Amino acid sequence: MNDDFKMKNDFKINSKQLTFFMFAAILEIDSLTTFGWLTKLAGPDAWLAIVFALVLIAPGTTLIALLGRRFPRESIIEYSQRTFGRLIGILIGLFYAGFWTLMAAKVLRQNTDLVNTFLLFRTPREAVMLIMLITVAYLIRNGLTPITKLNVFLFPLMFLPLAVSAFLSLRDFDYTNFFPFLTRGIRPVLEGALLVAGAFQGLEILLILMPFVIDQRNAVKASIFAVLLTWVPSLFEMISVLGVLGPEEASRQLYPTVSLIKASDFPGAFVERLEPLFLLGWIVAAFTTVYINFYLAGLALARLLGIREAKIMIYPLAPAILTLAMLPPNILVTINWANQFAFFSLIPLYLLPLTVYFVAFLRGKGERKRREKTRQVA
Amino acid sequence: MRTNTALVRRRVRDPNLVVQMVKIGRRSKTDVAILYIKGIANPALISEVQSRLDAIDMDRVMGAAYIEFMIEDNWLSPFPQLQSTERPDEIAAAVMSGRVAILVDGAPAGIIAPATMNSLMLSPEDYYQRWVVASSIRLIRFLASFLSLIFPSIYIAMTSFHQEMIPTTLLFSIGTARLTVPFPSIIEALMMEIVIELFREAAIRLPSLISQAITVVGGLVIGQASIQAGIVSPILLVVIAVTAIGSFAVPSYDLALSLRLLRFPLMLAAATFGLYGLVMGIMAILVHLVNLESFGTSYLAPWVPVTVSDFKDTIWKAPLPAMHQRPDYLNPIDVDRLTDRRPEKDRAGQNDENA
Repeated sequence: MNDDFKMKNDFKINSKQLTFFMFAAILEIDSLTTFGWLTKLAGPDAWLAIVFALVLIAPGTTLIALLGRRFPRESIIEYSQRTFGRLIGILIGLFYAGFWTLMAAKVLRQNTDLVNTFLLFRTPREAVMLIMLITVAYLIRNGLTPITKLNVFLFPLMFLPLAVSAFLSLRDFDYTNFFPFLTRGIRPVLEGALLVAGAFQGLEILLILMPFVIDQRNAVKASIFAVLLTWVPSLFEMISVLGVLGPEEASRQLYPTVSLIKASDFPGAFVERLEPLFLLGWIVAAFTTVYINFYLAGLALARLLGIREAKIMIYPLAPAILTLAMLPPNILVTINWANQFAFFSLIPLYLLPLTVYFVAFLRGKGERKRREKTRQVA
Repeated sequence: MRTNTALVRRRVRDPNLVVQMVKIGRRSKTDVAILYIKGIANPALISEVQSRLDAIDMDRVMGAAYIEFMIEDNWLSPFPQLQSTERPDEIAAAVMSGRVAILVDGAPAGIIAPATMNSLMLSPEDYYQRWVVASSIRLIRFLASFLSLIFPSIYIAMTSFHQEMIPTTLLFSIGTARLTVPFPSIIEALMMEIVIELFREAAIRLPSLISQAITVVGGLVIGQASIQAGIVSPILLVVIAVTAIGSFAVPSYDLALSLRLLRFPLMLAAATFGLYGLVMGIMAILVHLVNLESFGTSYLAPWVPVTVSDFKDTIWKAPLPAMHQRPDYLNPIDVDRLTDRRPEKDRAGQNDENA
């Protein structure tokens, strides 16, 4: 393992680190606000939407991993050019670079709204954003190796609040909140499932990370595991939000999860109100997502332009991200845009990889399964 | 010089213990010894140490610190990237686990390379304690050192931004205590921190007999008087005192110093951006640590990159019979050599225990 970290330029990652990487990329603060919207949409069946979403996410993840294994030495930037020809390929590459830039801006903005709502009420948004962007730029100037290490290191800081917050207030759990079952029909649930599936942005990082993975055979397992690590606690959280707050209350909240933590109290705890402590975990989660997406946007652009070092891209991208993040005038617009962005994310997450895979399959580009198998035997 | 190498040799009677003498310093011609065990230490590490020592071209080498600063990886970093120790048993243990030690003629302290955050936080006494005791002591030590880094910042963030987080009764007592204090909490905390640093500095400069009296009298008198004068609140004084004591719990003096130094930017961050600033400050430190390497070893090893087998010697110290592997992060290249030698060494170690 240490061998891989020795060479700074020759970056490699193993599948275990890939799990942490993807976990850090997937987990953002979307779920804080998505839950409110989800309950507004599906009422007491909102939890079912998350379950259904897995039906989309699991094959989607597998598809991305399979696509990566079909082109084991290339990222989406290169193989989309090989499958579609140069022009469309470059467009796809630009699309992904833009998507990651937007992602970074979106999470940065959501984090700023969170901080402005709960921690710093009067601090200007620009200041909150800048302080995070500077830290992020400080990290990504050294490439993927420190990013990978930091993802591993921050994992417990992100996972514990996520896992614990669901079980904090089970005393007030009221299971009648889940009834009546499916009163609004299945449609809103399916729509919610699409929203959740789109909100799982972060799967697509495998499209560009795949050539760096050493044991690509385990990539599918690693990414599915990362999805489960975020999906299962999110499901519990949703159930507990519904059970404790009830669908009416939950749909009226901007941040139902935070309200859930507010409603709970640790017996004998030193700190009276716990939600700022949990918010710190969420801020860390936002931080990881911002730096991953920022870096990947830079990496994609650098690869498109044929530059080896991605860090030069920090300078044009940072102001772009800051400007994009300043666009929504207030928090309600941010949440609205974020939800629409989740639907939009279905394209780069599932549709586009599916298309690329399909076309590559038809045109016989990339390595075929059979050849790989024979190589494994040999 | 030879006395020092003999002190190590007495503890490690392995014929493979190599003591390589080099002369460094154009004019001072200081004797420097590189100690390692052939067959345990990674050859890449050894040659790295040798080449970095060879690269030193300076007129004089005064003490081990000169060597340390000339061969460390990142001279901009506030963190010590080499471990300095005055104990021959620590050097012996380091050499036995595959590190390289450097002794300098005329210097009371030797240098151990590579150093990691973890190894700087461990004290040689830990290994002479029962594992339950040692583990709990280490837990307290890690907590104390973390606290010494962030405790004043938490106080500042809580009192100036997040009063709602403090339990009501405590909030009242903090409020009444701060009623007479004319300064914002950052000024208050900075003032007291500087006074404490002053005491420390004074205690080092003065002869030990007087220094004790001065620090006790000075600390008590100034503390009491400043509270009565209404310059600082008593709760802040508690925070600062706990921080100062916490920083003494760090076994490595160099690391304690860097933690002390980093406390001040964190305090400023907490004063401007509250808990958010504190978190971002800690993230920035983490980013720096993640980038830091000491002779090709990650500074945060074995936590990152995760090597589960090495977790036996972190906050949790495994029982001695269970520690049957040398730290994996020290031997990244030549694993075979290590596995060949390891059982032999281990058996020897265990027999010593039983005898």
